[in-house]
Amino acid sequence: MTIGMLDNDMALAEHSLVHELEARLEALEAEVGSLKRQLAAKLPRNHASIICFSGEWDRLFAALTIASGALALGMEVDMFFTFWAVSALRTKDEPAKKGLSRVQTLFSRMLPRGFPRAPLSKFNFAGLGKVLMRQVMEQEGVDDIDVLFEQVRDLGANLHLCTTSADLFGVDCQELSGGEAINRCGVATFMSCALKSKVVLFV
Amino acid sequence: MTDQIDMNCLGMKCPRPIIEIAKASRKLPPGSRLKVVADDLAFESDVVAWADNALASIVSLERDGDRITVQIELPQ
Repeated sequence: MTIGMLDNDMALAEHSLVHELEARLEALEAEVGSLKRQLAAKLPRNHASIICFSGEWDRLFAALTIASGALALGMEVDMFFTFWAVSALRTKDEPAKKGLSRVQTLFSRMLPRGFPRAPLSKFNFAGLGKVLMRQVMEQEGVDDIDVLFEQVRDLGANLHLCTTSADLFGVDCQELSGGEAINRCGVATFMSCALKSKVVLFV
Repeated sequence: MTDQIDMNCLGMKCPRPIIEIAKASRKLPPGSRLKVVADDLAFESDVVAWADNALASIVSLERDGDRITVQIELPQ
């Protein structure tokens, strides 16, 4: 075997080793890239998710106040209206929905429409308690609930409606205050937001 | 050749369609395709959220009146 052939073999071996290393490096970089993306997807962000379950005035007020605080701090805010809170998104002049069962019609009629008509959780006294509460608030310069809701909307909160609750109570998903801007969704959408959020609340 | 499974979720309301998708994705090999048809109003928003979280990709999403047909590719 001549020196020349030996050199050739060594060059070939080196070349194939470099090639193999390059391929492995590329595979590693792809894997690291993928892991980074997976991690980023799971880490909580400057994001707050709030579920409004209660249809009571004071609880809704608290939820909206918290949302406005989060928005003021520059957080992204998602608010989900489910169960009794669904009625807070209804408009006063909501037309009657067709094709409902008797029970759905009953629910639809009995549930209040819009934020201002929600009852207090305590001391409601058929609405008198709420009148008194709002009197005190006006005295103290606290914004009323519909003003607060507008502010939360203006500040860019993402609003979501639980379509299943809406169907149960005979609420028309199409006719809502905020209309198109309200996302019709289910639990997976909420959970997905919750996973990304540093703040997750159930009100 | 990747597996393609068809799922009929018509008449199912949230959370059922998503539960069915989750169950199927646990059983199927990576990279499989799921074709789901549903008529729940919540489905469009939910399936996108599910895919985003599962790192699956939405290959196509069609709306035909109430019906949504979506093709999902599970992650590798």
